[in-house]
Amino acid sequence: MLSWRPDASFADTSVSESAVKAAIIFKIAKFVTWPDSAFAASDEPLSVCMSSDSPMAEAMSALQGRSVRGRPISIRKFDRSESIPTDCQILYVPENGTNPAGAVLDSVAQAPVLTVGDGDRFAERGGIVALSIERSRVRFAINLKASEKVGLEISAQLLQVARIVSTVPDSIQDQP
Amino acid sequence: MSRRLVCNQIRLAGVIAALICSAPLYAQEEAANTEQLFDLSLEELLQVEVTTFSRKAQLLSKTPAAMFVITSSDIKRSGAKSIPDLLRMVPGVQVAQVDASTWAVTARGSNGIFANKLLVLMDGRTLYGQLFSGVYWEQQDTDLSAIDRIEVIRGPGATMWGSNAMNGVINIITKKTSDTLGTYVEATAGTDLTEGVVRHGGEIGSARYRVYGKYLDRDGFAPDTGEGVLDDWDMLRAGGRIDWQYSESDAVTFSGEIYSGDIGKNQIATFPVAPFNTTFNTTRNVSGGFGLISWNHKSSDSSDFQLNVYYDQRKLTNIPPDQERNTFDVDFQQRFSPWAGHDIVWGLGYRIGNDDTMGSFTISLDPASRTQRILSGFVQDEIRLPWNNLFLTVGTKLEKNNYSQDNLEVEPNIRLSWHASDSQTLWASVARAVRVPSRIEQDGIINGAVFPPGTPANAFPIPMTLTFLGNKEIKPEEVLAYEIGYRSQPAENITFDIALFYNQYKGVRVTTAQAPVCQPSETSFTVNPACFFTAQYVELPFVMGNGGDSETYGAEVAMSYRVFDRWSLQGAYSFLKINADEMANVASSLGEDSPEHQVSLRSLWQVSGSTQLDLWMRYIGKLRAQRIDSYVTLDARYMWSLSPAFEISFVGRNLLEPEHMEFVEEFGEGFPTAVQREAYLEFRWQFD
Repeated sequence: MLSWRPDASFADTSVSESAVKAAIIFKIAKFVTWPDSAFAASDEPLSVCMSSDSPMAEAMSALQGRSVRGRPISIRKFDRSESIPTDCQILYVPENGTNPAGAVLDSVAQAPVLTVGDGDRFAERGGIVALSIERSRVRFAINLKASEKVGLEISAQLLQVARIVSTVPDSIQDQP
Repeated sequence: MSRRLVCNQIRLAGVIAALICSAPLYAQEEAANTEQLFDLSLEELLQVEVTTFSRKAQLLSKTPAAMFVITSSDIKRSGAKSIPDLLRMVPGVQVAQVDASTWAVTARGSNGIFANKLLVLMDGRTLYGQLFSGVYWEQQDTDLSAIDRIEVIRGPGATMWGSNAMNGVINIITKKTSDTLGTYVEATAGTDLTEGVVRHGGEIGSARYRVYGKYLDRDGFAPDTGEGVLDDWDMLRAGGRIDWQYSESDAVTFSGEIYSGDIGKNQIATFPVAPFNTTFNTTRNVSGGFGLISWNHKSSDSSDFQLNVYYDQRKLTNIPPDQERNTFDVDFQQRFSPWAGHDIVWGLGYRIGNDDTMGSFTISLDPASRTQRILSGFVQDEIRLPWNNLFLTVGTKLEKNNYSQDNLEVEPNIRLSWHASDSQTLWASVARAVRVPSRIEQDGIINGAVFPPGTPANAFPIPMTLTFLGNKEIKPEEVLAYEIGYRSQPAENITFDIALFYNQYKGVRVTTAQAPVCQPSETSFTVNPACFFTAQYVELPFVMGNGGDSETYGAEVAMSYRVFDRWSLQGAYSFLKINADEMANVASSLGEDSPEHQVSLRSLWQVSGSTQLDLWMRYIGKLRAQRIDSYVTLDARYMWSLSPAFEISFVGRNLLEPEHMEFVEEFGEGFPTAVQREAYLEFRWQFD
């Protein structure tokens, strides 16, 4: 009620949410198999993309230089005014207000891109991996139908620790 | 990372190892090095406790105000069991315990159990009482584990709501229901305290809820001899909350609570006939509850609005004046950015509060029942100046309150801030604020003492009363507050902020002696001195008015230093000087009731993955007005987490002395007790 002043102790010593989320995205990637068509060449790096003003941008740079299934990770930051790249293997879609997440999802709906976003509703709207916070811990949901649709294989091991969402929103379903 | 290797090796050892190894939550709480996160398994990562407002944390370093935040981790590691005790870590805030259930809490001076210059809100609901002003802390025994954070802003300028935020505002924010899922049980048993909390949270569709109950039984500080002061404190509290994400951009919160309790007090009662003055032990019954609906609409990153509606009822009986207050409040506020470089916030609120009291000879109100109506609003624009990182914030609060004759109170503020770098902010502000008179200041009749006839104090043959009278013409107190401050993070592991302030008060409440009055005929001596011979008693009236001027100045420093990953120190120092004119110092609401120097130093040590040892030392200077000596005290807490789901804490409080006095009630209605050394054991279970 007071105001929208930013509010948190900068003396807090816990691990930051974005650092944990970045590590979890990295772990999740290890359980995902992309179709060969997702890569232009066999030695092409695994591209992790996000807008440059994304709150995760800084934390995600910790992934740079690590590798998944023999492919080095390459972090690609794009400007929000540019069109969204569709040749990424992982696309992080931050939560921000209106409905850009929906537009982003539509633009990569047919591409073999592992979309990762915030809030359970992200998966219900057709995103593949939705990160959320419960009791100060990170949880994630996976939309299996959305991943199958674009040819991503997700290991059963990962599904054991995820919440499974199976809705397919109209915006994705209706496309040819 | 080595811990994980060890755990992998001993994982075979069975259940015990599984408990230890599945308890990374505290181990990683302090792990600053995010590299280590990548060495954890996915299952372990899902157990790591995260700061959910880390993004905002970066912004606090840019907050251009004297603000301090008590986080849920601070709450847990403080060992404190009440909100006022938590506030002792905040620079610029003065906390003194009067008896087992009563605290005097203020910011930047003017302390008292009815400290009237500090506004306190919980989830947007005011806890400030309009009858006596101030907060009845004994009714606010909220379950501390459900508090997300407590934001404390000193000074009036940075707050938007509330005419009584003269010296600052405390905003208590409870956790979202998504942070309290599962079942939680907390049990505390100690030398002076028995407490239990049960909470359950779950999901229904896209809504999340929690329901909870709390029981508190605090032994009085006074010895259990059945004599002297009995200040036991028992409370029962139950409530619930639902957070419902209705759509992408709309969220609705419903919450409600009821409580009831018994509070032991030692009271003074006065009579116009023998025995004239007595003190007796009695129990105040308190009860109440509230219901709140809040709707948040976020249309974009820079534009949103919020609507809050609540109803609140509080009842105090068995110690005069009995009182019941019903409050209904509607607030709306909106933020938007009409032009580049402008961030505008405005709000409008209406509150109607009705009280009904029943007094005694000692204290009563005339009229016994009254309705307060407050129409308030504010508008503020934060302007990005064309020069780099310089911001100008201008705004004003507006209020019409029938407790101040419906005059329009204008409370403007102006603030200039410079974000010198990512880690440094400087600010300067000037603000005017007012405090609306409380009911007792307008309508009160307090017969504080009776001088029996034929005694050294009263040689005459009839009793005389020392009587304080409210004044229907009393005006709001005013303050002009100046502040400069600096906040910095010179190294990744050090944070520091300092604020310097100067407050000029005008029209501070004082009492002025008037001609004696014969009672019950209400004939003034000046009209008919002969009434003396027929009167039942003679009243020596002191009438409240706006006679006092005063000034305060001071400095407040907060610092945190992470020495190692597992060990951090947090310190606060406050300096406060009060220059009240003689009038104000003797008989006002602004005397030397606050310490000149106070220090808080906390050491937080993560001994191992599952144990913590925390110490908290405090020094509080003497209170001249109350003749209370300075004291040093120490609290200690040792926590052992047997598994992620179960932990035990052993806490000792006020360890250095068996007891110490902290305050004397300013109204002189009852007797204070000394704060005792105490110890307790606390168990916490969290089930999924």
